[in-house]
Amino acid sequence: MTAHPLNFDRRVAAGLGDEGLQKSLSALKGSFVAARGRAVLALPEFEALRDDGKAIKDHTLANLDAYLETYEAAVIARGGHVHWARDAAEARDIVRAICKQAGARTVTKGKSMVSEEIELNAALEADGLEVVETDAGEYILQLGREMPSHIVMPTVHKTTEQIADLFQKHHAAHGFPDRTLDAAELIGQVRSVLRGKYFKADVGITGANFLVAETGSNIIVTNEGNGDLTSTLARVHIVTTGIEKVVPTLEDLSVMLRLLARSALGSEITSYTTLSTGPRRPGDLDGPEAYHVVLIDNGRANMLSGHFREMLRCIRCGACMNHCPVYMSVGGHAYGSVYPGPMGAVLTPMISGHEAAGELPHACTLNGRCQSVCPVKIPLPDLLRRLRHEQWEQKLVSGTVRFGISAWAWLALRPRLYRATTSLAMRVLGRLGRSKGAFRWLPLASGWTDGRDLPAPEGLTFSELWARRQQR
Amino acid sequence: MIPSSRDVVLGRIRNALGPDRAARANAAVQRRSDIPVWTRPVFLDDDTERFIAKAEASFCTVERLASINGAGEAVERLLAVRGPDRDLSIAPSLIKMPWPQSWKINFGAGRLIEKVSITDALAGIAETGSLVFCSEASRPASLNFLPELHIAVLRRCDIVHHLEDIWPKVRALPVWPRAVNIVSAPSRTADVAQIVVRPAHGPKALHILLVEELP
Amino acid sequence: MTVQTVNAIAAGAPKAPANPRVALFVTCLVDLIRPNIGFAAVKLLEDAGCRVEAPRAQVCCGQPAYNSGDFASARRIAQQVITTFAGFDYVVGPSGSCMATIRKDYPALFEDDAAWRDKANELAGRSFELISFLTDVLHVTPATSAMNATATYHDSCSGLRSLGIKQQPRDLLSNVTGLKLVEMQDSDVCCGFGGTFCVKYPEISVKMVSDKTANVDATGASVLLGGDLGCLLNMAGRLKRLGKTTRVYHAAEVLAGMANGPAIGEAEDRP
Repeated sequence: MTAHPLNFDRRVAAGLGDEGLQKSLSALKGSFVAARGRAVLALPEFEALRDDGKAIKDHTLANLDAYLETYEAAVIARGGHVHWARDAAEARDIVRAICKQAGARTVTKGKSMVSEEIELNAALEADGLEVVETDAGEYILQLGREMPSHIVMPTVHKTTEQIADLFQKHHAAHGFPDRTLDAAELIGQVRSVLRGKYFKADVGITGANFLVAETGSNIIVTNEGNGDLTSTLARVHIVTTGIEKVVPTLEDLSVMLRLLARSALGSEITSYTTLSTGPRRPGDLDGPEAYHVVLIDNGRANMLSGHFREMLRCIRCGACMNHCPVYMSVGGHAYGSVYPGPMGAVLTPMISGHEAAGELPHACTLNGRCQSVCPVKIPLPDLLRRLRHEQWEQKLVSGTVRFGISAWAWLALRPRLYRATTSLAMRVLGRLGRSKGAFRWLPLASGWTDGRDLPAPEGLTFSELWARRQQR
Repeated sequence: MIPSSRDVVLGRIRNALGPDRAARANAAVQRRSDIPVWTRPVFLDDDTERFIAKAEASFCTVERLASINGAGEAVERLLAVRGPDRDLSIAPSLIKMPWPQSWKINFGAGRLIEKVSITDALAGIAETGSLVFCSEASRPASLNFLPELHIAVLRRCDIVHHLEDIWPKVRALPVWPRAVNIVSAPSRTADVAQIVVRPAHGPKALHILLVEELP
Repeated sequence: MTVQTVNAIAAGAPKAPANPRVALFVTCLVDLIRPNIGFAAVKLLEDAGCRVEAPRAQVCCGQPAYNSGDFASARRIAQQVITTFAGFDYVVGPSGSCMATIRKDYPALFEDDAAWRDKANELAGRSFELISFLTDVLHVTPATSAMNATATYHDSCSGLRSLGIKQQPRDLLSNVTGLKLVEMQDSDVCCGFGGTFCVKYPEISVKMVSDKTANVDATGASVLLGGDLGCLLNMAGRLKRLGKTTRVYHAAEVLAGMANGPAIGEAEDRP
């Protein structure tokens, strides 16, 4: 997974300055965030369901080897194939080999964040395959050669005007020469262009929202129906999925489905929830002739030991980013990773390493709103702080910050010296600042004063005043 | 010998989880017979009424019929607004129903030419107003996704209370189906500027024929 | 038995001693920048019958080190705090953020050190944020103060999410004569302060505080209140930069009747 840590500040600036993005993010608050709030209010059992969801994932992760083997056996028993991939490169190679073996020329794809994580499209295209994203959002991004900026709503950063321009350029060849700003017409074009592709596809690739160990099923939830057309009409169905997606039984799945749709979209359930299990049965009139699952580790197994196991509960609902004031300020592209927002800030360094994604855990106020909406109660702020700790221990934190914190801690551990130093400093600042009440500018404080005034101290510290009061 | 990736990944997992592999295997087996009772939404409405209300709230249309014998007429009424075209795809499971002679029917998998399909559901879910379709030789899954208008036949007695209540029904099928499709609404997307558009790739409309009995 | 005692027992809270010996955890920001909040806290506590002391050796809770990932320094500072505040019936501070650090983070910091973990847990059990201490432990309503204004209240994140402080300040402020409380939109969304975050990522921080101050402005309130000086400095600084005249106070200052001086960031010569 490619991350772009060096450009973090520039990406932030781009996000903050992008009017279209800012409008879209505001709209997101009014639509999906508000809808989630209503859906949660309408279900008194939601809090209990969060506890259940956490318990289900904790149990599964604590016995993950057993459940993966159970799952694998069930897939094989129903005629499917299971492949294990240590990392992104191996996952790509497995998919490429299956496509080659199938003599594939056209590949349709349902929305799969894991396929973004392993950068699958580029690898398949390099092999000369026609790769067609079928989720409307992913299709738009594919035309624009862009990364998703949200894990559920990949095009949240794009305005209607931008999509209209893109379609005018690419859809003239499909009989749509005129630019339109009508959302229904734009989606109608996507539907029309993709209709034939589903039938033409040799291989259909989808992700998995969940895997069920009991039955060997992969589950996808969509509102569009593209995932089902992809998995039903292609000759070969390949599921790319992380190893953490498994749950034990259908009853466990039911709990997770209730949590996912509400947390992601504010709906009780999506239009389509599909369990796919193996290839077409003898006599079936449709469905793939072959069914493959690629179980991808790519850093996940190592997260099982220690504090980061909790991150593996994540069901990719996006609620954390929808409720994150940082994400809502800068948008998903600022994170430079296919996984943005709070969950991405934890996951990206775990997958790509601190060197590649070091900035992400710091770009957070630890306000905790993400944790309060997480359907499986992941303590995201604690994990982000823990990542900062790892960076501190590995000396990956910038020298300035390191020096600042260390010097301050050194002083804080010497109360008498601290009092002497700070009371002198406050006296000076108080004298300079009290007449106006605040500073518009102070040396070395531009981080604060570029955008706000710095309220001036009263002048005498509490400890000085308290000592005087005690003497009286 | 070079270890397989399966061994490597499972090895990493076992390394993290500790040595008690047998206990974990046992826990996974135990769980199958000993499924915890998780929280379920409590609702007291009548299942049929709840199913209809939920389906309609999700932009489905519901029509109650005394018998499947009325389905042909009901579909004719529905299609009247669409014009004279009577090319339909109907699930082979419904081949013995008394469909009008004048229709051109494809009893097979979904194709691009037919804009209307009729399929029968294994169950309905009162909790969410959803339909459950299980693929098999006479029930191609593509019929649930390809048409513009999807007409679903559901027996009223097949409406269950909670989502969980469908699993015993699916488990009781002779073969675990390749596809279990839980369909709750017509196709939609909000990928253009968060404006909800119906349809995206699947049916624009989902009409449910809720019948008291099938012959 | 009074109603309050019944409530205390019902809530499972330990019965407070009649005149508890309370250590004021001043917090570093209040100590340095706005001692008035500290004295307001002292007044509220003394009015409630507490014997208040402010241990001289106190500096900071260590949160900046902890949140920067320097757990070793955070531990040393936590040990200093644990030692300094030993023996008091309660430790009370006018900040949800600092008190959440003591209550929630100290025990976690010593998860691998049984002896210090016990001490951390012991301190955590008797440490409270000021407003919730008055309402939930002492079950007192401060003597009525007055402020003729319309105010809106910002929920600081740590107090809200780690300590469950939401209704308590609103309840107490509703007793202030002349004060009308109006809710702003997204009162529970972070203001963008976040400790070192606000200077490490100033552009994001300023965007967040701008959203916040826009919500404050939209209420038409002339006073902004909160329970954490860090957030208040951030919001007051932004309001002032925008040329707004909104007065910003800590809720304790209003409750103690000590909000008659200049507001946070306000010039001294103003009434």
